[in-house]
Amino acid sequence: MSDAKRNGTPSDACPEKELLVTVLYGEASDAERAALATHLRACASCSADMSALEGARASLSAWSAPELARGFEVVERPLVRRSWWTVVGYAAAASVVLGVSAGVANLDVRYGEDGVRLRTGWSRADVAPAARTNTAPSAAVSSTAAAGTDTPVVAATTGPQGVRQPDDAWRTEMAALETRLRAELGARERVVPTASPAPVPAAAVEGRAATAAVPTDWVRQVQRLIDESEVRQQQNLALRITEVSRDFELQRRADLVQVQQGLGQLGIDATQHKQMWDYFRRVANQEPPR
Amino acid sequence: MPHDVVNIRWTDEELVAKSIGGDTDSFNQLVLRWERPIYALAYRVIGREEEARDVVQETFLRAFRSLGGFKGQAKFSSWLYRIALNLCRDWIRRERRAPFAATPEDVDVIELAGETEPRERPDELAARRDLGRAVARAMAALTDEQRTAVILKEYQGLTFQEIADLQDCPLSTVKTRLYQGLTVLRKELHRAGVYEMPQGLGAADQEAKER
Repeated sequence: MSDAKRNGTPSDACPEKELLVTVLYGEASDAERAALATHLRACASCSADMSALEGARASLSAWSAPELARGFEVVERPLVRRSWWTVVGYAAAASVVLGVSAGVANLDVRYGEDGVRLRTGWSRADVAPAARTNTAPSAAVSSTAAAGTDTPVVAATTGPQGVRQPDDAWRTEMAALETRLRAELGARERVVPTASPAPVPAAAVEGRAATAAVPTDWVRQVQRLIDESEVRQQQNLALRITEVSRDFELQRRADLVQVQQGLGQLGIDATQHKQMWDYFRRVANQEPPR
Repeated sequence: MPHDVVNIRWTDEELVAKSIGGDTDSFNQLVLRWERPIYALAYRVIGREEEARDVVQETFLRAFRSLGGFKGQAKFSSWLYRIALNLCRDWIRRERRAPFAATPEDVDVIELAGETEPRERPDELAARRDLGRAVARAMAALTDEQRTAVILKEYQGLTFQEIADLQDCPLSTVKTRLYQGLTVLRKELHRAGVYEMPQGLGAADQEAKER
């Protein structure tokens, strides 16, 4: 850039230097850019200025930083058992999916030596069950189960008789569980909301649960359903929870459509999903990271 | 992985959430992502390799410890940059007698390994290396704020607003710093005999050598 070009002096018509910078870095509007281009054609001073800035930028690209060898890594101290919070993290993430897809708001997830136990409390008042006049729970159950016996949940699953993909089976299982629970729902005239029976509130992903009493035999029945399912599926479920938490995003996106449809049927607001997730994050924030 | 899985990339904020839950793998993922940019930032702001490495370590250490304090209103990277810049500022204040060091001669090999352009000829590489050193020296003539603004804009690609947030100043101040910084830079480079030409850096170095 020779000095011969700098024969102009800035005038009042010249824009602020800030505009040059804005256009230089491509953050100007089309109007601003056009206006500046017009001015630059007429003003040697600003034109020289702009070229100088562009020249400086061109030189800057030559200045590279040295290579960095990997320097920082967080190493988990070896434990006999994973921290409770890690499991809660996984479990809570999983329970969000489980809770939503099963249509039941309250899930209590516990991690013990024997594996993962899932308990469900009662869901909320505005759950609209499929209309069923059948008042005998077992009869309602048998209509969805394969046999007339009280075999819990889902004929086609990852059990010995199932030859499905793990993902499908898991979803099928939860869907069937949901169906059964809704069938149970239909057997009752009134649905009474309750707080989660979980003594550890941090582990439960709660919906908008009100605190009211619930028929205890009902709770027992629901828990029995879950327990029976648990007994058979315990190992699988633990595995699934881990995998689910890892592939959470994938499941969420794939399930979201299904879930939203399901939610629509049950009359649950889709924003509850976000509430659960926010709740989990709030709860997790109370514990300092290891 | 099932055959129909698309590679989902966790966002920074999702990794933070998982890290808060105790998942150190997730935090290490974040480190992997942001180590180099943070190092490049610290290196250019401070001008020293070893100290820049210290800044990186300290940045992630602090980030790990105060993950719970990350509210999620800002971007995770912005939060990280702020921690790093504060550490840089602290270091500069402590070492005021020698605030900025130009690139040492023996760093060349590492530099080349870092950011080699594809199909770059050796003479082009040498020219770029020389220019790089000249730029590093010229940067010393800028104020800390100007230099930081230029680095954040040129090498980290932040928007004006993001820089304003990090430097706690108005938008117009950022632009002024950039204007002044670039102007000073160019003057310094000319003083050192380095002239940039539109057609390429090779020509610039050639012209500089001829003077």
